[in-house]
Amino acid sequence: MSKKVTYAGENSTSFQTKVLVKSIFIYIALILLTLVCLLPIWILVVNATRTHAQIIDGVSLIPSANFFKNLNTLKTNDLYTQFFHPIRGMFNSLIIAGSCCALTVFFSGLTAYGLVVYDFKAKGPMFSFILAVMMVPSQVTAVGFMKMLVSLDLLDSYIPLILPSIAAPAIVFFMRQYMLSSFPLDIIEAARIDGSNEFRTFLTISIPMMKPAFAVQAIFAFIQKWNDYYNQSLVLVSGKTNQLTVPMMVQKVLAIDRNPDFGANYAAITLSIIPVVIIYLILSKFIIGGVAAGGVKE
Amino acid sequence: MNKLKKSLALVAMLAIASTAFVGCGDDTDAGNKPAETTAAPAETTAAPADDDADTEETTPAEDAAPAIKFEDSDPTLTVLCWTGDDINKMIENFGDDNVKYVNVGSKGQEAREQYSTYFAGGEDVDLFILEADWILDYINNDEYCAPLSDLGFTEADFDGCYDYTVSIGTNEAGVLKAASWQATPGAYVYRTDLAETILGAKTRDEMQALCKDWATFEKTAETAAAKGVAMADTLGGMWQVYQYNKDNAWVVDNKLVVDDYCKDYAELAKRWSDKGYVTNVAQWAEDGSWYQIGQDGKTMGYFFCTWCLGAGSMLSNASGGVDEEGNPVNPDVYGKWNICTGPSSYAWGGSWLAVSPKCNTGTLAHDFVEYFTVNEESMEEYALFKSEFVNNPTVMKKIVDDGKNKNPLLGGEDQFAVLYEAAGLIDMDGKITKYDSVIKGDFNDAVNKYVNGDIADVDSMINEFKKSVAADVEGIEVE
Amino acid sequence: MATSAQKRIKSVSYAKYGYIFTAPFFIVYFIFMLWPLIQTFILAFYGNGSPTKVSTPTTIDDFMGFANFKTILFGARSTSFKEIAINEEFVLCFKNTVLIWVGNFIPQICLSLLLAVWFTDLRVKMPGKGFFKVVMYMPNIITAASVAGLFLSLFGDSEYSVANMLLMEWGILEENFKFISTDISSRILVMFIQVWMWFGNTMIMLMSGIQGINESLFEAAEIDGANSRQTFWKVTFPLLKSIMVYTLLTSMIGGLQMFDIPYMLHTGFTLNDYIKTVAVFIYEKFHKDYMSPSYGYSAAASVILFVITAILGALVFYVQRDKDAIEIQKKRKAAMKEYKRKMARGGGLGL
Repeated sequence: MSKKVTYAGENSTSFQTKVLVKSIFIYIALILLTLVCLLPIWILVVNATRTHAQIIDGVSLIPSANFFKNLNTLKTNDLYTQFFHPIRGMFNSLIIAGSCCALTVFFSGLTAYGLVVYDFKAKGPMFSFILAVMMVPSQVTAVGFMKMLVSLDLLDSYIPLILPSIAAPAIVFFMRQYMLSSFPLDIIEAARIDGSNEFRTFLTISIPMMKPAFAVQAIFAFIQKWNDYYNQSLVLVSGKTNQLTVPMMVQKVLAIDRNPDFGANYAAITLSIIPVVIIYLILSKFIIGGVAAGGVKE
Repeated sequence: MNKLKKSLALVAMLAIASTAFVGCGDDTDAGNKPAETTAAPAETTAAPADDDADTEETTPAEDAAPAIKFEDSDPTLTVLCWTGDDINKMIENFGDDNVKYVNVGSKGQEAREQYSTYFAGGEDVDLFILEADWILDYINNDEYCAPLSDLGFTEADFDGCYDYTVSIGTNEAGVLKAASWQATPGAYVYRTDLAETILGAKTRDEMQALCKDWATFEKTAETAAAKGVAMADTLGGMWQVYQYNKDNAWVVDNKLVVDDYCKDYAELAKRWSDKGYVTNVAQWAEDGSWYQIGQDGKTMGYFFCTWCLGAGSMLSNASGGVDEEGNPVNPDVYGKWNICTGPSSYAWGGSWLAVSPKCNTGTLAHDFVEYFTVNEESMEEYALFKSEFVNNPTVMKKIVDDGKNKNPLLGGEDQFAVLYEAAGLIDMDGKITKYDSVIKGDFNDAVNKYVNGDIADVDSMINEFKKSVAADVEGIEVE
Repeated sequence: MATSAQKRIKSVSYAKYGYIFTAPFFIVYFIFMLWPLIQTFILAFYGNGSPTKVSTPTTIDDFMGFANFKTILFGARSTSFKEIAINEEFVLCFKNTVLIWVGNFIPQICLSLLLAVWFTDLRVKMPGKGFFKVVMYMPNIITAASVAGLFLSLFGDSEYSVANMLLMEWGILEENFKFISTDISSRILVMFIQVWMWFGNTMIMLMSGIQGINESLFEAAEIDGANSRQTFWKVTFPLLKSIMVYTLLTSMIGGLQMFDIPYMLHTGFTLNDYIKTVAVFIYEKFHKDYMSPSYGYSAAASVILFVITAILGALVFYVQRDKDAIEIQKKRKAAMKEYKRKMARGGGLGL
């Protein structure tokens, strides 16, 4: 994108003013949006540095100095230590979200590739099926899901949290649409002629070309799975402390109803979002860098 | 904060409870393996309930010398609970390292479903704590809850307790299944400085005279409102007092009972709210406003019960709390409270101990229950240890007479003296039903809409309330 | 010469890869998701209430035919108080769902598209572009529960909520406004939160779509003197269509199944009627009274929601579908030409 292109009429003053005005306008809009995006998060983080009494006293935008005191409450107060072990929780969440993310992206890509590249009889029905199941309301299927887990003895296991992410209809659909709009099929033909087998073509040619789509979906998948309290608490029934994930821990912290320490609660929330922010920032390089897709540059 | 937890907390766990029932429903079409596993618990829940009850009723008679029916195969006593607040102190006071607890980590309301999830998961549980709103769900369920006689107790053991706690702990078949370690009378807790400047009430008795019944309370509220101070903290608080004095249970003979009392309350709520006799803050609100109105002098006082008055409790929050060194953050408010009976006596909440049929730490479980619900000596010790209103009038009388309890939040006053009287008047016999939590929620919803002006009059409000109940509760008649 | 025969052999032999590549998806889907789904459909035809007849008139064992659907959709015509109540509740939830969805989807897609175009516009050179992009997605990182809690303390009913404090301080309001308990404001709040949480997500999706468009096309357009608007309507928008369809579909589905925020944004222990969505209805019927749950109503409402979503989805998809097919056809033709060309050139080597 850093390529220097000479635009028609670029040197005329009116053009330059126009661009300048537009840029300023865009800048103002973006700054406003940034404020709207960050303000609530900022308040959350600031509250993590304030004491219970301060928080009850009202909102503030200026951090106070009590973050470590709140951390200490999390570490020492029985009410919190009974289920809040951030390191353990992050490790557990990382295993779940990480594997889910990898499986989702890889298999969705594979499925989409299969649906776009090959011609086979069941292709149409398969795609219609994927479209149809995208529309299933997720609330009620939980009953059948749980019933099955009981019969397979899979409760309190990470398997039912991780394995189903192989089948992500919406992401398959995204990948398919993406491939349709920007994946040159001739490159596959070329690879075939070069003697590459189908699976290798997928791995070595199509995945690198699909990087932006993969990166985007990887971020989405990771964050969604990291925050997926609903399914985690459904499957990890007994709530064994060494199995708890970050959102489950946070939820339990927030559920303390008799003597909650708001400061410690906010500190727990803040701790829980830090890893996601870090991973997001790492992966977001792909988005920010604007990895050029399209693959074939003639 | 409170709604935070409501939020996803609910979103989740219940489904498992449900699976048991679904399993039952689908036996016919679902084939072999899955159905078998899931259906089994559901069947035991349902069918043999009556038979079990019969045999249990005869048990106490058979065992002249009460025997513990559970073995001692596991050294660790596991107590299931939904808040660490009580159990931490109990274990500390009980002083046995073999007592551990599992906290399902949710608000009382959601805990009822989370428990069944936990039970379904088959993890170890010996004793569990139940809440007034949903205790009936469990004590009438023989799959999850065994009679206390299995722990070697007779009904006579609990003669010293407040009667109402025993009758609530007794199931439909007349079997005693749960014992409470606390009584939960409530009272009116007010700011002494405001009472003096605005109402001229210097003592507890003078204050009580100003709020001795609803009419007087309202008159006093008028005076206070003129100075911009509400007499009642929240509609939620008023409702706790009001609902306790409701004559009828919500459901009688499988029919929803909507009596004049409901209409009276709705009108009172609307009037008070319009006139500023009650603040527009909600109990347990996320923004901490429930506590702030106390600190800011927007309310004269709160309707609080026994468990709202200890260190770090609701009253402590309303007083601004204490810093690390234990010094009051807001000395202008801290300790400037007193307590009086209020317009009518009432009780709010309460917790019971029950035993799981899978208990495998029999002796220790017995000792634990005995320590907190039967043994007067240890109960007295615990009462002073946690500033808890224990479930024994004799013990509480003694503490009041000795004058040992001094609550710094109340400026050194003893809340038990006032609460002791209220506790003696508690009578909840036949008034609680297993639909209560849902019905109460629907009722307050309707009242709130009426108060906000979304519903024009009381009759439409009652109609709206009935509709919500009809839609929410399966199996009771609504007309 | 033998190209047509060769082609047939080729395509036949490659077809199996289509099955192999898609197999893991379908196997996992059938095991973990289709079975629970079928379960739901079955439940929709059974009764509500506890597993025994002790306290409820029907049980989940009773086959009810279409009774649940009838109650939910046409209960108002019945004389039973209960049926009327359930129908009214569902109708309200449905109305809320549509209102909130429209109010969040339209601003969201406009904002996201605008931002995506700005961020991918080669002409507007903005330092800090990356920073903005990162920030806009941030709200999506936080768990819905925390978001709801945060907004409840910002826009709470009481005079202590941030919004009320400020508005009263500035003299705009005389007394506190009940943002959460008032119908219009609570719906707007949900719309706002939904946009706030999801516009970054949509924006990134659209951006990845735009980046997928061959860069040389933009450059060509710019060299040809096209202005931003022309570039957008003539180049970006047409090529973005398939990703737009995706966005439209997922957003529509997500919107119709909106659950978290409407479920959590309330003061007190009961849900807020004005923002109750169909998904909340489904969940509530399922969980509220867990000792005698209304599985039948819950499942029937899910089926209804599914049918509505499917119809809308099919509509969106079929509007777009032909063009997709044509596009595939075109690409395939081009690929074949290329292949033929290469075959012809490569000659015997290919064998």
